[in-house]
Amino acid sequence: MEPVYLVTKVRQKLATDPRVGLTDLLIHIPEAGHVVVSGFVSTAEQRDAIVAALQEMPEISRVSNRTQVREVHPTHQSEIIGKGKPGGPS
Amino acid sequence: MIRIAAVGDLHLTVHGRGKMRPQFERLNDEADILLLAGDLTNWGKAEEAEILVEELSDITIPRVATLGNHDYHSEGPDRVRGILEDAGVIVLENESTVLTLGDETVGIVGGKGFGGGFGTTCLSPFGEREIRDFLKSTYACAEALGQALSEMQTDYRLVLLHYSPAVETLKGEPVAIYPFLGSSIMGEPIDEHGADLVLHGHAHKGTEHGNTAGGIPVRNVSLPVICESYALYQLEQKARVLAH
Repeated sequence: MEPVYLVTKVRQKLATDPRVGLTDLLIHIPEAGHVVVSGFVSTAEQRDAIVAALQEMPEISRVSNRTQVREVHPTHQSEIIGKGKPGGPS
Repeated sequence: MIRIAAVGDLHLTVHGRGKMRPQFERLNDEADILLLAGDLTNWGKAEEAEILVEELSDITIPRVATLGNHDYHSEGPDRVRGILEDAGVIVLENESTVLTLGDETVGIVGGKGFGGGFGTTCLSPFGEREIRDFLKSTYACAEALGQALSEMQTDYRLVLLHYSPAVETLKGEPVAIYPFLGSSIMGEPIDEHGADLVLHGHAHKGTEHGNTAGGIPVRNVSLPVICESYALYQLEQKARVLAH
């Protein structure tokens, strides 16, 4: 299968698999059957599920999971925004 | 002055129970209102929405939300909306609300919005029915924004969307997918009638700070962009100065 078609299939699998449900991961096919996935996920469960889901695809023989669980930090700063004219800026 | 907390793209799943609640611990002291910019659940499931309202249950300031495309996926937006509203969250889908905070009034118009692209590469409602249908919800949102903003007589006027009405806050995303991230069709009525601040999510790899084509501040509060529990904005009555 041409890499462009496999990338599409992988993206669809990761978006629709109920264990994963991620639409914005980066997919790279360095060689036939080898998929590299990178980007951020919300939970460790989601990260683990990526490999499980992709191993179900017969076109894939090797998965490199380079995703990271996103860290959410406490809010520490407030931005001050001046109020615009009531009728709009122009 | 009002203090706004805002975040979108929580993408809450069943694995998220209890994880978000501590992040909102200081919110009641830090803000006067919380705005949620869609994709609150990952699959649009009732179970996820029920977990979400548990996570939000310590928040006593007004909570206003719009839904995102993920909230439409499984059981439909009405189910998610109903669960949020039963918990006291105001949900806007091409609708507006007015809140009184102290002695000031805040008008908020919101909706999911939709795509279509920007400026010279914006899709036109021409040709096949499928193309015209694609743009229907974008135009419906734009019409609702224009109608509400033209009538809103509040001290502050806010716009809350999931999709972006401005191209600047998409920077970082592949240009090829801009038409699926928002549309200038929604920016036009905002610039025509004016607003103090526009908030949106959806563009996970975008940029927090931007403006509409007419110069109104737009903030992409997608959680993957801000990487904080929520973004905080103080909207001042006077000086039109952006400062950190």
